[in-house]
Formats: sequence, C-alpha cells, structure tokens
Amino acid sequence: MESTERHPFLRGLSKHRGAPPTVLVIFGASGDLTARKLLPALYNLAVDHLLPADFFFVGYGRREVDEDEFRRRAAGAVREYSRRPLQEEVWAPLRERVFYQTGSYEDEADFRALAERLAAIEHELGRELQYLFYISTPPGVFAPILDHLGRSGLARHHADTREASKVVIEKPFGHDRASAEALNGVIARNFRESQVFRIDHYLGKETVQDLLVQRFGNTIFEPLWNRQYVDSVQITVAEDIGVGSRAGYYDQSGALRDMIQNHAMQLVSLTAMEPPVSLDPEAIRDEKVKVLQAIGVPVADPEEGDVVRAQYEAGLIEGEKVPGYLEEYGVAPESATETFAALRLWINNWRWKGVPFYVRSGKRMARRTSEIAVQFKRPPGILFSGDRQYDLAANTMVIQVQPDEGQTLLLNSKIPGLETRTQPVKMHFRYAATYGSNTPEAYERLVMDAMVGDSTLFIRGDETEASWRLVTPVLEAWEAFGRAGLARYPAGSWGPLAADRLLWEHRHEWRRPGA
Amino acid sequence: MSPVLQALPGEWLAIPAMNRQLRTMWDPGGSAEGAPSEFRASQMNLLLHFGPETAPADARARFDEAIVFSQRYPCRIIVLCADAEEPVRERVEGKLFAQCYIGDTPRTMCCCEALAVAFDPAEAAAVFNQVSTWIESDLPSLLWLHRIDADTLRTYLPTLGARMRRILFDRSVDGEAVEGLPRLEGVPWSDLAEARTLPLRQSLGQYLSCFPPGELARQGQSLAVGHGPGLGGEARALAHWMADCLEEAAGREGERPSTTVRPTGEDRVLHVEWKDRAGASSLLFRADLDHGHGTVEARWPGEHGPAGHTFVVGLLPAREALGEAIFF
Repeated sequence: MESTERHPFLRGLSKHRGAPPTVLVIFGASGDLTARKLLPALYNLAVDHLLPADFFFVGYGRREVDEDEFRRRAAGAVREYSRRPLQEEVWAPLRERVFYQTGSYEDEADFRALAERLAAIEHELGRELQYLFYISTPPGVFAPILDHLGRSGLARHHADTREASKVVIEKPFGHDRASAEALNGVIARNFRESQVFRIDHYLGKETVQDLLVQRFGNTIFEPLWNRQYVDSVQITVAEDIGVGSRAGYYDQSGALRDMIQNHAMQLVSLTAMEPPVSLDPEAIRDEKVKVLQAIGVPVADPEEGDVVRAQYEAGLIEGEKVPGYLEEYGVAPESATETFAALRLWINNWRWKGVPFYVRSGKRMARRTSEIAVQFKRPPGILFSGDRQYDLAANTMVIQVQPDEGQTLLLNSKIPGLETRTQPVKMHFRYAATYGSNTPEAYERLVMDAMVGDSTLFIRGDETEASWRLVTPVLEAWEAFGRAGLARYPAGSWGPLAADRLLWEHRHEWRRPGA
Repeated sequence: MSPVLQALPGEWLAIPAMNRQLRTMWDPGGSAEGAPSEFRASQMNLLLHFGPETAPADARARFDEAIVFSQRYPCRIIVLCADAEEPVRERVEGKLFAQCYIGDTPRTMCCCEALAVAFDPAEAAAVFNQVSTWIESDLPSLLWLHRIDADTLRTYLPTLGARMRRILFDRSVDGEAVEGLPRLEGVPWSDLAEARTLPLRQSLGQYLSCFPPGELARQGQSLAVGHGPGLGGEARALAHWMADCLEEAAGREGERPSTTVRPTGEDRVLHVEWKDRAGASSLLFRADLDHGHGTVEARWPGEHGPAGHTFVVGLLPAREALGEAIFF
C-alpha cells in the first residue's frame, strides 16, 4: 500500500503507535550521547509502550566491547540518566534485544558484516524490518559511514516502502557552508531526502514545539506579529558552564557554530516564519527556509558591523571562582575562538522589514537560559506619559525555552489607590504548574518521530545550507581578523559591552533573564 | 450519611463554605513568587459521578485513580455521590480535599483539589446547579460515570452534560447498561475499558499492519474473543476494534466478521481467535496479563505451518487509561 495511507489495523492508534518493526543502529554507541540521551530515551519510550512491538537495538562502535558488558553499561546509563527509574519488567525484554557490533566506520567488510547481522535479525523475526541508522560519531566520519551504508545496500533496504531505511544525523552538520553542501551531496548520492533526519535537539523541546501552537493556535497574537507592532526580538541561548572536557572540539568550533548556526537560528525561523499551509512537515520546513533566505548576511566589521564576538575571562559563577577560557585545559593560549557571539539580523520581507532580531549565545554567562522575547512598540505618548507616576513598560511576550519552561506576558496595570499610577505586571504560564511533572525529553520525541518517518522536527538539507549561508561569511571574516576585535567578558556576566552597543544604536537593551 | 462520601478523604464542610474555602485555599498571603499558589494552575475539571450502586471501596479506588491522574494533569475534581438513602437535611455537607504532589524537584510540584458531595437523586437538579459554580471556568470539563443510572443522567444531561468536553464510562464496570444511557449530540463518549486495551491493540495492530490489507480480508470471517472474569469490557472493545479493522481491510466488497465475546475460566487472560470460512488462515492471539506477555500464532495461505510471535503486553494503568480516553 502507499506509504501515506494508513493501514486499517493502525486505526484508532496515534501516529506514534504505528511504527513498523525497527532495528536502531547507533554508530558511536559507546559515546556520551548514547549513554546520556539515546538509551534513556528508548527506555522511556518502552515505559510508555511507544516502542514498536518488534524493536531491536544494535550499538556499533570501533571499541571492542563484549555484548553482555554493553548491555550492563546500557542498564547503567538508563539508571543514571533516565527521567524515570529503571523497572526490571520494562528493561528485561528490551535488554534481550540490545546487541553490539564492533566495526570500523571506513571498512567495507565491517559494513557487510553489519548488513548480514541485520538480515539475520530480520529473517528470525519473519517480517520486514525497518533499519534506522543513527550517526552519533565525530563529524569527520559522517561521510564514510553514509557512503558505506549506500555501497552495502543498507541505505536502500525496503526502498519506497514504510520500512525504508532511514538515517539520523547529529550535529554538527558541516562546519561552514561548503562542508555542509558537500555533506548534503554525500547524503544525496546514498539516500533520498525523505529518508534523512538531521537532528537539532532544540526542536524536540516542548516549548519550541509549542511556539507554533502559540502563534497559530491563538487568534490574538498573529495580527500583532509584524513590523507594525513589534519593536524588536531578542533570542538568548545562554549557558553558565564552561567548555569542560570538550575543549578539543569547542576550540575548533566556537559559539557561532556550536549554538547560533543551529539552535538559535531554529528559534529565529520559528518565531519569524509565515503560517504554513498545513501541518505537513514539508509545508512547515518550506516556511522556515523562506525566512532564512530573507535574512541579510550580517556584516562582520568589528566597529560598524552587526556581529560581536568575545571570550570569557575568569569570574564568579554562583559565587564560585572559575577560570577564563584561555586557562581552561586543552585550550591553546593564543586561541581566537569565541565563547560568546551576538548578532543583529534583519529579515527583509514584508512582515519584518526594519525589525531587528538580536541573537546571542555564550558560555559562562550569568545563568543558563534560553528564551525568545518579542518586544512590542509602546503606545503613542498621549495618555499615561510625561509624568513620573506613569511607569509604562513595552509589552513583551517572553517564551522561556529552558529552564522553567513557559511564557510570560508583560503588561501595564494601574496600581490600586486614589491616584492613577501605573506599573508593569507579569502574566505567567508555567509548564510545570499547568502540565505537572515528568514531560518527555526531547530525544524521546525525536527518536520516535524518526521511527515513524515524521520529519517535521528535523532539519532539511536546504535549511541547513541557508543558515550556513548567513554565518559562513562571518566565520571567514573572523578567521582573517585573528584575535583583532575579539572582546572579553567576565565569566558570570551577560557578555561584553560591545554586545550592548549593538542594541544601543537602536535604543534597545539586552534583557537580563532572571529566575 | 452516605457511606460512599464517608469513604472518601477530605475535610467536612458546609456547602456554602466550599466556594469561600476554594478562593482562600491557595492564597499565598503576600509571599514571594514561587509560592504554592503558582502550582494550583488547573488544566481541566473532572466530575466523577458515582451512581447509587457504587460500593464505598470502589468509590475510594476511583477517587484515588483520579488523584493520581491529577498529579500528571492538574485538575479540579468534583465528586458526586448519588445516594437514595441520603436524608433530606437542612444543611448539605460535603468534603474538600487538597493535595500538592511534589515530583523530583519543587519545580515539578502540582496541586489538585477535590470537592465531594452526597445527594438524593431526587434533588439532582438543585445539586447540579450548585456544582456549576464549582467548575473552574474556561477550562474543559469531563464527566466520568460510574454505575450511573439512565434516569439520573437524564435529569442533568441537557444542562450540565452539554457543557462537558467528553463523557467517560467503563464498560467493564457498567457492562451493557451503558447502551441504555442517553447520549448528547456533540459530546463524545469514551470507554475506559477500550482505553485500557491500547497496548493490546498496538501490539496486534503493528503485527498485522505488516501484511497488505488485501491478505487480511477474507470472506466469512469469524472472530471470537474470550476473557477472564472482570475483563468483559476489554474483550468487547478488542472485538469491536478488530472487526472494524477487518471490515476496513476488506473494502467495499468485504463483509464485517461475525463476532462473539464469551467469558472463559482463565483469570487475567484475553484471547482472540480469527478464522475464515475455509479455515485457510487463522490467527490465535493470547494475552496473559499477569505475566505481561502475549503470543500470536498465525497461519497464512500458502505458508507452511504457523508463524509464531511473542509480545510484551498489558493493560494501561488507570492514569494512562484516563489520559488515553480523554485526549485521544
């Protein structure tokens, strides 16, 4: 039957309960992501009866690991990182279907061995098995893995059916526009785009998914969501942690590549996009691409440009002293890698012309927070103005992505009393309070979506190239500048003064997202 | 005094005091942001209506299930205990119960409240007028019926019932008596017994969805579902679902399979047997709910011998079943 038609025996079952028999093969299975996110996600899907009745897991890695030892480690990872405690009655049947295969990422014979193993699982099952490949390796081996999946025939297993092979690819997806295009080329010669799921785990977060519902499921916002009423938009993706043990990777990457090119640009596109014509994944992704294509490339001039970069110096985080970036283990003393970046973006379309979108991300900032703040224009200064008794704030809608997921609307209200005095007040909606505890983790949703072939929450090839189009010229300029123009900021602050100036030019100022 | 109301937890309060108490219960009294009042944000109203035949122990069990449900989906619970023996009194009393559930961190705390009242079914109209003032406005309301009789339901269905987002019942509790209950146009009904069978439908559905629908469509099919004690509702739901799927698989030329549901002596076991007239294909599905596993044995035309398969199966626990019935 056509893959778009629903089988009669899936009637009454939500889309996520209709996954075909699946074997999930994780390349890089002995890595951190598998332990911290993927195995706990699979376990919690099993708790909720969301895994297909026939589900198998094959960890594939270069390290030799005994299969029983891998299963023990898997159980340990679930115990340590799962949002719910490990229950033996759920884990035991899952454990029996966890396997491990040692192999190189670049050896054809090892991929033939993998193909034989998967075929054996399918043969024993007696029904068609979907192969879901998850690439969670260093980016340098993405291309060889993809090519070997193609050459071995694994990429075309059950082609054009519901059980067609799929591949999930973790970030980073390229390190600049050319490499992203090259990687897309490798993908295209081995897979169809419909088989490809490029992950940005921010899209798996409840609040990010909720953004579409907030914008297009409520009447009151959309008429105001444009240049007539919006003064500016600020998007912050801030971390309070340093580079930790990731210095080797991070020093080759920096804030612009690590957080802004992917997570922050996803938030920009979801905030700014036009309403899609349907909830079909392609309809939504089409609108996201259109927004990215409408954004002008930011000017990298350190004096008069639209971008700021900086490195953190020693400072205080939560009362504790922390070292500066250049003092961190594994960071070269002359490193010019930015740990903070801020951009001022202009979207050149009818909806947003003239409205600045300010985006910033950094490590060792004052607190961990990710938010989108839409600041509206102030009312005309006819009433409630020109007098100290009137304290009118700009109405602001804040979508708190993490932590304390929820929304806040800043309004102005009269202070009770005999005189008319005003002050700003907040209306809150908190996920934790309204929806209770223990909501699914992002990776649970993303792995499930990949299993059922729903690409809504994944990045399309042209989408990733469109965001690289914006940041690659900036990266090239910074490469040429070396350390010239690289500002500094104390750890525990909200970033360098240069980032503040980016907004002062337009009489705006950065928010200080509190607890 | 209603034995059902006596069995429920909470503080006794006069009815007039209920609304006042609700208003002041979560007042932070000027404390800092993050005080408990933030966490009493409700998602919905859940009206739990016990009919006169409800045993106190059953009522307590259903109430506890509603409380567990509210720990995941914060709600205001209103419990209505119909009791023909309830004396007419000058002052009607009820109970008020509140609970704050703290999850892994204080950030995940959520609070719920429950109001319970007993009443003579003859006074239902007046009581339900009062109840309408307890329902939290602007939020969806759901009505959960337990051993309710049709006459009582008719007294308030056109008014209170019409404002319900959904009406819940349990075929395993009320059996075929549910069929006699009046329905309101535009208000969907959901069977909790059917909701509980979700893992079984999912396992069977995923297994059978691997075969083209045309292969599953056979003329003269018969479907027999056997069930252990207390699982009649689940068995009927499973039979109905499977018959629907087979009818759809058969398309326009096909026919709906004949269906029988019968009790067996096997405790906590459900089994499904599907045959065509010629006996050329058959499926035998057996779910052992106590041990959490199910087996399917299927014979397909042209294949040698049966194909066997095992599943992990169970029924949805009460909270998940409520969620499934309410949201899907």
